Amino acid sequence: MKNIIEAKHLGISFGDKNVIEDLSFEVRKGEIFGFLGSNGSGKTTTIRALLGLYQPSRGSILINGKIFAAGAEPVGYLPEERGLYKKETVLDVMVYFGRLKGMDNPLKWSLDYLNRVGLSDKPKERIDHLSSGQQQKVQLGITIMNNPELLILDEPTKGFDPVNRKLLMDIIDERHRAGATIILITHYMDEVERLCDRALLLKDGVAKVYGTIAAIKKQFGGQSLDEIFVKIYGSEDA
Amino acid sequence: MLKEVIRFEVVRSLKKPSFWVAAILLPVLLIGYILFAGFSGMNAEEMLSQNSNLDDKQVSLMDESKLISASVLENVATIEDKAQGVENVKTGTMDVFYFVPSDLKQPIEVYSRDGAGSILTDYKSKVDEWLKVSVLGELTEEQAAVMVGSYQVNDIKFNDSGAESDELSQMIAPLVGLVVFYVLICIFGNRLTTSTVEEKENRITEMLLTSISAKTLIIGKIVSLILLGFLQVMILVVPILLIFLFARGHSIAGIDLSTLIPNVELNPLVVIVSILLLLLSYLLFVGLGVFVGTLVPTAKEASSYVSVMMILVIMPMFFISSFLSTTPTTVTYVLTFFPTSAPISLFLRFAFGTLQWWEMALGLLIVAVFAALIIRQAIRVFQFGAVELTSKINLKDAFFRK
Repeated sequence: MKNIIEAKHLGISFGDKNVIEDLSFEVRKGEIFGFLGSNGSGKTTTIRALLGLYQPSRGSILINGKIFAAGAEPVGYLPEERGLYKKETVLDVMVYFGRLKGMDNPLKWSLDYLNRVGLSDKPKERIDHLSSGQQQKVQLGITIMNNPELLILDEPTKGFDPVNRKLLMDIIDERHRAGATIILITHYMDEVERLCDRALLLKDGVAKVYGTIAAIKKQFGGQSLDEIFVKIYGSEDA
Repeated sequence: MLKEVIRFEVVRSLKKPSFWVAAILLPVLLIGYILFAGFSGMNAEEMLSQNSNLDDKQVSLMDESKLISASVLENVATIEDKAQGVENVKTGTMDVFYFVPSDLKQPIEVYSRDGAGSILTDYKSKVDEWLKVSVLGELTEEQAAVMVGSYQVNDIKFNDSGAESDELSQMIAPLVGLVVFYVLICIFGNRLTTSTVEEKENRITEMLLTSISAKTLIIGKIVSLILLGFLQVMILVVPILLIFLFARGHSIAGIDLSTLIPNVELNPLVVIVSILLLLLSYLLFVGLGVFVGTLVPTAKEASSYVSVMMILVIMPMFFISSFLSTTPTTVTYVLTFFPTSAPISLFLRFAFGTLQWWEMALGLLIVAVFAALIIRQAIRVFQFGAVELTSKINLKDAFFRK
């Protein structure tokens, strides 16, 4: 299986502070990869370096063997920082992003998606008139538009009720079955166990655990990922 | 991609009522101000004349200088005793008493009562008028014309090719360019920064920059702002052109309107250079605004930067007297070749005919190069500052961060 992402000895520093230290990992094409760690562990910084928003201080992180170039690599990114053009309508924003992503008929796709996620009555609604959960659904729609080869989802189900969480997980699973590679950043370990093929657990910018879910669990004597997470963070913090 | 950014930015601006309010209101206010100023000017002389009208006042005069002519003295009560004249005013027998001393190095004294006129009633100008009329009456008609400047001068100048030059036609294009530039910076000053800072404020930069490059986004915004500026110019200029076209061959109340339009023939070269200067100046201003927008996380924080930017651009207006001099001063030269103040300085000097061709060429080059540099820097800062959602980027980082 070919790698879509390769990080080699990646280091990122801000001033004197090393946020990421000598991080090496691969994400294979077509897998769901769990990128785990507590808040401030360096997950978002690594993703931003992958997308060219930060320059690596050392090492490299490449997509399909190249440094990321916007538009050239079909990537869908749902960032941790959520937001949309608040004064515009749902449909205007979705169609705009659809066009930026090179879609032929973003209008039809957007209406179909809104219908699927229960927002069929909202196309003409202004974004700031939607609830945060509804805005999040619109953002997810924008992220998966035009079937990107790589999906990076940072806390995609944060704040969702169980019904909507299942709906979004179904959509993600669907994209995966269609061949997309997915990097899932989440604090819900049950989602990781259920969906991910492999995972990496980051602590203070250093990879603490890395491998298939089965191998990680075996390494920790068959414990659940929740227990492993607590053990890694708890043992060294104590 | 670029086309999509431009379309999105232009369409959503046009959909905002605030755009149309600003676009239409400012030209209306500008035209209203010009009409009001003209009307006020026309009435000023009438008001001054009313203020110095003493027809309904009891006026007395004592002239020790013997300068005031007999014809003037016929219409005024004369008094031989100064103390009596002052007493008459005090007791209310007279409204005003003028005392003109024998030596005019001494002050002329004017005594009047409170309530004899409004606070604006100008008693002093009356004695000034009497003295001038009296002295001018002693001169020949020609001498009097010289003293009051009531003669005509035909000022004919020739250009380098020996042809008669028309200064008015030389001035019109640069002055129109200056007015249009000024209107644009008034209307678009804040819009430039808010347009750029909006993505950061709405936490949308990360999603956008996975779909398009910072360069495409910033250039798209700049082009859309230029198109909106062009629309603004059309809103300002088209009604004026329509009025001119209407005026030709029409008359109102028996007045042929075409006679009110100055008969000038515009020099095509001056027009082309003025348009080029306007385009480059606006590009520089847009670049500055977008650059400021990339430095700050919110539109609110941008306002202090915008104020500094505006001052740097309109700086020549504070030194307008230097630009009215036929010989350029050091200040004029500095402002002409300093990038942010160059646009207005070049317009002013071009209009007043104090700009050499090489100075215009150098000025245009400076404006163009600075516009390109500041836009390039804005793209860079937007890229690395895209995730600085809560803090400002300092100027050191903006220019020197690798």
